[in-house]
Formats: sequence, C-alpha cells, structure tokens
Amino acid sequence: MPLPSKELSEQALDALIVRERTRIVAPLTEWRTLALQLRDEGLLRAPGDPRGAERGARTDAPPQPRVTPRERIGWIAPAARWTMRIAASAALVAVGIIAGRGMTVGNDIAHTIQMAIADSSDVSHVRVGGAPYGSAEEARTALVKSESEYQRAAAYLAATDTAARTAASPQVLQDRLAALDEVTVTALKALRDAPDDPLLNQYYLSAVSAREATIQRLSHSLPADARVVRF
Amino acid sequence: MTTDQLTVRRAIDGDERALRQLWMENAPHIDAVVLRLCGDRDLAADIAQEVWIQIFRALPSYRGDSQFGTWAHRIAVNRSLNALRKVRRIAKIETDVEEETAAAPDDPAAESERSFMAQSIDQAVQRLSPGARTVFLLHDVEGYTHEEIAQELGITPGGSKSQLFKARAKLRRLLAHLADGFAGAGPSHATPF
Repeated sequence: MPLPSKELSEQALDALIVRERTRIVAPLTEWRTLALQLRDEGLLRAPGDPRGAERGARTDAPPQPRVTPRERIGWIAPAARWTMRIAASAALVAVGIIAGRGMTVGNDIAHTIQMAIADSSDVSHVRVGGAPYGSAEEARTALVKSESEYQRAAAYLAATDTAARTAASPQVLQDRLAALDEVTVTALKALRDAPDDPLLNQYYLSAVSAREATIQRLSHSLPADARVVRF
Repeated sequence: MTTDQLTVRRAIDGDERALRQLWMENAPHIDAVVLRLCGDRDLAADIAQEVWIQIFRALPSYRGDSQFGTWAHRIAVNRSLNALRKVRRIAKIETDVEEETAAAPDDPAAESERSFMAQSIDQAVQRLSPGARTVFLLHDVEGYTHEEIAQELGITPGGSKSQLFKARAKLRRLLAHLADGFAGAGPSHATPF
C-alpha cells in the first residue's frame, strides 16, 4: 500500500508546536506531600518556628518516609480527606456551572464562585431528618461514589460529545479561556491568604484543568495563523 | 530586587508561604514539561515531586539573572531526563537512532501509523520512539540546541539532527488529517523561548 501523499505542512506543524509550548497542566504534585518532604529535609521551617530554617539540617522529629503522589490519598488524614471530598465536589459543580454558562463576562465569575462557596459552606439548609443515609459513613461512601461518577461522566463527555465540541466556536472557547484565566488568577490570589483552604485549592486545580482542556479544544478550532494570547 | 528574588529569599529561609507560592505559580508550566517528557501521567507525577524537591534544594543558586520559571524549567528538564534514564526509558538513545530507520512498506508498524489519527500533537508525540520523542521535545518545544541535546543525552549533534528530522516527518504523517484545518497557513516557524 503506498504511503498517503497528504502530510501536514512544516508550517502547520510549527504552529502546533508553538501552541504545545504554552500548554499547562494541573499540578501533578500536591503541596502537602511536597511540604512533608521539604520539612523532613529541613528546607521548610517548622510551624511556629520564627527562625530561618537551617538548610540541610534535620529536624528533631524522626524522619518520615517519602510519600509519593500515588500514596498521597492514604497519607491525608481521614478528616482532611472528608473535607477535601466535599470541597472537590463543590469545586467540580462550580466549574461545571462556569463551563455550562459559557461565560463571557469576567465579573460573573467572581459572583458565581462566591455563590458556590456560600452554597457549599452553608449547611443549615441540609435536612437531616428523613435523609436517605443511615450513617455519616454511608453518606461519605455515597459522596465518594457520586464524585467518582461525576468525574467519569465528565471525562467521557469531554472525549466523546462531538456535538458539544463542534458547537463551541473559537469565540466561545476564547471567552471561556478568558473566564478560566480570571478564575485561576482569583483562586491564586485567594490561596496566598489561605494556602491551606481545601476548597480554594480545588477551585484552583479544577480551573487549571478546565483551562488546559479549553486550550486543547481551541487549538483545534483556530486557524493556524491565529494565536492563543491569554496565558 | 525583583518579586521573584524576594520570594526566593523568603523561600530559602524556609518560609512556607513563599515556597508554596513558587510552586503554585510555576507548577502548571513545570509539571507540563515533566509530563511532556515522561508521557505517562503516573510516572510524571512521581518525577514531578523529585523535580520540585530539586528546585527547592537548588534555590540558593538562583541569582535572578532570568525569571524564576525559566531557571526552574531548566532544572525540570535535567531532572526529568535523569529520572527517565533510571527507568530505562531513554537508556539507549543511540540505538534508537539506528533503529529508527524508515519502515518497510509492509511493516505492520507502518500500517498502524497510517491508521492512527492523532487528535493533537501531544498524542502524536507519544507514537514516536523514546529517543525521537526526547530530541523533538527538547529541540522544538523546549528550545534546546542540538549541541545541548547531544551533551544532555550523550549523543552526537548529528544524531540529534537526524532524530529530529525523522520525528518531524513522522509527526507530519500522523497529523496529516489536520492539514485541512491549516489550509492557507502563513509562514510561521517555531522558535525557541
């Protein structure tokens, strides 16, 4: 069988390469895991220690085994895991809201995030009596399951929903990218004040992930001589 | 003194906020480099952790001559390549160069290549041999020269050029179906950072 004569031009390949250079991903590491190792190596000041860290000096605490990202779920304390799951669900819903609305006005983003945070943190409206769960553990299990299901469904739709993909014009994607840019910046600013806030962390990570996916889609919808400028 | 330098100074003193700020602002780019070079997300996650620890260990050597991100990028590339060597992903680059000769017309691999339609350059790059992928990514994406690549990988500059030529040719075939979307593309050449 002869080789197909059709090839991507050198210029078109170069255009794809330029876009690839600007690609970003959601962080592959987690700060808690990194901090554990940094503290173990004496690179991170112990909490409450006003003095500068002595680089390379070991702390008095016994050395802790290195925790790889794959092990991090097991490392996080159960209470923190529970909090993070709630936060992750709220963040996923919030990002879903943002994506679903196809936002074009930056001011809407902050409002949506504020509302989502308020909704997720206000538990006064939760009706406990008559709840379909027999125990907190049962509710946690259901939450984890639904969160996992949500992520699978979102991934499936992202990969297969060609109708939605083709419906999104470059302009819509650019608007979405601009919106996600602002979400990322806003979350980053908030994290500087509250670096340990799990909800803010999840907003940031979700926004970065959504941003990456949008850039990928945008790279297929723009003509080769157009450039994604918001990075 | 720039903001980068101030933050780095605080980070060197072990200030968690500063360390975390450096990580948060640069992880999306640095981790993307690691992921590109590794190809595999699980492996990349492990290597990214090593990369970040190395970046923080090396902070005292940051002089502020370039942006922190640029400086950290270099460390990320070097550390990723070292880690990949350990897992024997690119242990025999030169062997790859020799083996990466044109496939025979009835080669099943060539047939598979024809039927594979990458949706993105990221997918297509994963179809390259480890050696070709590394050279392509270092040169065309990360902006390394052939001399730097040769030094980094222990090959000759000529070998690096040869790998790049073959990698680009294969990518153009793998991404051929995208050609229609680029009709009328003006002359734009990829330039290093």
